Amino acid sequence: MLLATNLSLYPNPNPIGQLIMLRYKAPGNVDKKTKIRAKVEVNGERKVDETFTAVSDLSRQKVVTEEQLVVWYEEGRAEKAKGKGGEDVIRVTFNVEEGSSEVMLTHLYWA
Amino acid sequence: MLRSAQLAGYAERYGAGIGHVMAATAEMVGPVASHFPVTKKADPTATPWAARYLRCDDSASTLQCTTENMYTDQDKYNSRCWVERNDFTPRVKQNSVKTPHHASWHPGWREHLYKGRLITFVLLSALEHGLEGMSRVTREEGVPYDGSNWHMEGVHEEVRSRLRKEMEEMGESAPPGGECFEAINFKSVQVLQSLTETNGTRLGGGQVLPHHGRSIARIICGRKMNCRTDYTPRADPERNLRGIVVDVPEGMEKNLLLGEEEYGGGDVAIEGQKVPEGEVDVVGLVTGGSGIGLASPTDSAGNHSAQIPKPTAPGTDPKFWRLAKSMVGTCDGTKCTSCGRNADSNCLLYGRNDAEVYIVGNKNTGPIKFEIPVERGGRAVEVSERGGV
Repeated sequence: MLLATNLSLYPNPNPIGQLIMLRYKAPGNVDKKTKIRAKVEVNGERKVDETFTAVSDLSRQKVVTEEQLVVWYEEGRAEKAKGKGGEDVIRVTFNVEEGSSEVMLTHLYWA
Repeated sequence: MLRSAQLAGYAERYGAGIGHVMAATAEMVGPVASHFPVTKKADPTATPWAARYLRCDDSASTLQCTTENMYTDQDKYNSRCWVERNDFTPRVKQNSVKTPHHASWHPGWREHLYKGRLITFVLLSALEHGLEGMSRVTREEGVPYDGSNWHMEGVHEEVRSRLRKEMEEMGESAPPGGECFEAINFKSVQVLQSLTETNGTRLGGGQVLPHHGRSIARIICGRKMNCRTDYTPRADPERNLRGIVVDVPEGMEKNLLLGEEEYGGGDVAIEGQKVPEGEVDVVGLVTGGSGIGLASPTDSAGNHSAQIPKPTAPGTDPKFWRLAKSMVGTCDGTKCTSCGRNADSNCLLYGRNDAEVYIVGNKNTGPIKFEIPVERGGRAVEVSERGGV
């Protein structure tokens, strides 16, 4: 007997892109010069390379607050998977550029 | 939001499945509270153990025993930081009085026990109903058990159709995604537009054109969202953020280690957590008397054994990204595993799974690269005729 857990029961309205969201924490007294650079490569091809200013809730000076940045790119409907096992290989790179604050990576989401 | 989720076909993301049942069940606590036996201050043991100290006043319609009118702190909390044992002594002195976080608003273990049993009863009843249905159908139709009997797609579609119809009758529109779209506040996020050849348009951080905001919302509201984190508890501890770091430079690997437990093996049972003699031991019934949790084996003289101290040494090289505030062990939220036996802990038996673990870096730590796991499509499990997987 073959039991299958079908994860595709729910309709996928329109595969229009790949969304990646990073949740991070930054201190309330974050150095305003602190920047986070985000790069996304799909099958070795650069899709995104952009720099964000790290933000925090400045009203909460001594409290680490949680923030998020969103990276989105179009998948391209005709794009064919070239990676491992026929699936796309998606790599996301973050690094902190400038500034004296630490950045704490807490969650990585994608859809 | 739930209605919107059902319409868009991703109800499970918002807990419209079993989580919703559990929440609804937990809300039953109030209405049935007035039927609880009252624990008399003069003779609390006259009340069955599992119902004791849940209702302390005849006129009360809620579960409201408090430290003022009935029980002591020891009655409300049954956790301990450490139980002395003959085979192992922690290197850090353990708190001897009580565990942390004894907040006044906390209901304590008795109410948790009651809610847990209530939820379990609902789930077991549902399971029984399902098994009876499966048994009946296979008797009538034979095997294999047809997928239409247990796939949920038709049920969800029926719910969606009825909901749409109801909304139309009430004069409401039912846009795909509905309230989910509105719930997403893009002003609070920084959004990057891709450099894709197909589009070519770029947006700076924090700026979202309506078109792109809608595209992103369609992904969030219409697709299964995946996530990796090192926060605990997690149902599957192996699905973590540190596990998808790739191209790790030499020296950084140790920084991402979870560390090892201060000691291994089972724990000595905490006196206040044992089911009293003569009371119904639900866990014992389910597990055939073996109980849940790690129990330390003892020899004929009652001495505990098999404890192996393991020094913990996660890396802290400032040149690399590192894991911080980690909780060692298997923190899956169950009592069957050990969690938080950190070498520097002064409350090793606490068992609290909550921890906001993160990977921290700065301008000196260089890049950190993640490879996003491809987790699409379904999963098939072959089950033999004898039931083995």
